[in-house]
Amino acid sequence: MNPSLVDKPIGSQLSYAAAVFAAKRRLVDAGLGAKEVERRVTLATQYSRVVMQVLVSLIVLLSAVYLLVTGNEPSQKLASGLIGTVVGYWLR
Amino acid sequence: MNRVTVATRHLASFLVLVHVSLGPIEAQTGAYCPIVPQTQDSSTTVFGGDDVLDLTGSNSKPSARLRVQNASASTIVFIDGATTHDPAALAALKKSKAQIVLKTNTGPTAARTMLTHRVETVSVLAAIPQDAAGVAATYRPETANHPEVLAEYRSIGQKLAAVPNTVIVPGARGQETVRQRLLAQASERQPASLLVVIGHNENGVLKLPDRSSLQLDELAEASAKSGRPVHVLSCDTVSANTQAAGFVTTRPLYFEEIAQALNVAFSTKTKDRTVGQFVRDVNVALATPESNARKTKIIVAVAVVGGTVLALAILNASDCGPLSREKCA
Repeated sequence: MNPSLVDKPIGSQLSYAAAVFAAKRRLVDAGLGAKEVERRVTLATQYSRVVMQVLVSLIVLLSAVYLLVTGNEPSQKLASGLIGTVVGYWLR
Repeated sequence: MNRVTVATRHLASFLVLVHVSLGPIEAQTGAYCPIVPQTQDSSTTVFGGDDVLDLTGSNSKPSARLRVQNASASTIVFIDGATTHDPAALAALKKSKAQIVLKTNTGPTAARTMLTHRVETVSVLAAIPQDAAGVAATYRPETANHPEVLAEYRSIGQKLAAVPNTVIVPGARGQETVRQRLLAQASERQPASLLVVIGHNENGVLKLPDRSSLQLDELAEASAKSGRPVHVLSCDTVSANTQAAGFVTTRPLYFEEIAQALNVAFSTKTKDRTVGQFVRDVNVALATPESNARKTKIIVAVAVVGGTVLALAILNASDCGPLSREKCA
């Protein structure tokens, strides 16, 4: 993970994902220095990984919501745990 | 009716409502306006009254800064050397939609004269790399090891080449370096021809794809001597420590958006174009919305998904909630 994002008290994973998407979209502008361009190149290589993270999170989240609405009590407890895990992962 | 079905219906209604209410966000950012018809005619105002704001020297008061901060993209803001050393004024400029501002050394009157300078033609020179050697020269040799950077510059080159009157300068031409070529163009005695230079700058120095470099001040000096107006479109040139007067940008600019903005400015029909009108057209095009509308939608979408999940969790936790299977006492 990018060191400049690690010191955030909350939401560094979201910031990281946003930075990866931004880097994938545009690597250069009319003022970035060499180091920043290279950092963006490195971030852009993480694109597939972050997309998979988002997809897996969505699948887990939707399954958990389904369990929460339709399942019995043990399933609902499991669903609450899953939702907490996903939300916690993205807000860490 | 089953409580689960009722809750699902409420949730669906809520999501539809959110989707419908999000529609106007895009509509109000300029891409499409349902009330005011979009026109392609450049404004004919002569830069008096509210379409210019003076933030020079002693005029940088809180009220003026607030007006600049809330200025529209069609406003031209005047600044001077003192403004660039005033953090509060710089902060206001960076929040403003007026992203190209006019830096003057001789006061607002001279700045207005510059805005009304008539131009018959506009030529664009884009000094960007189109090969690995150019990337290495613009940045450093290690950067050229990443083929993605070159691929992006080639894509940018194609987009810029499609802009009318635009020449890509990817390297030296014979004995003439890119630096010499830019200076020669700025030194041509063609007061009725606006020269727009696009390039990568670091701290007020254009880093050119043939390892040469050119200070923005040198370009401005050549322009002042020849009388040919020059406008540099590069990143955040207001922060560069330049002395010369001229148009400066207040935020990082992406080459794609520069190409897009120039296309819009060139497509604008006008009889007697002035420097100020051209710059204003570019500024308005740069302020279009892409980024703001996208960001707002993403944030709202994440908030809605998160809120929905949270609401379901709370409803479920409550013994008397609609999702609870237990009977309330």
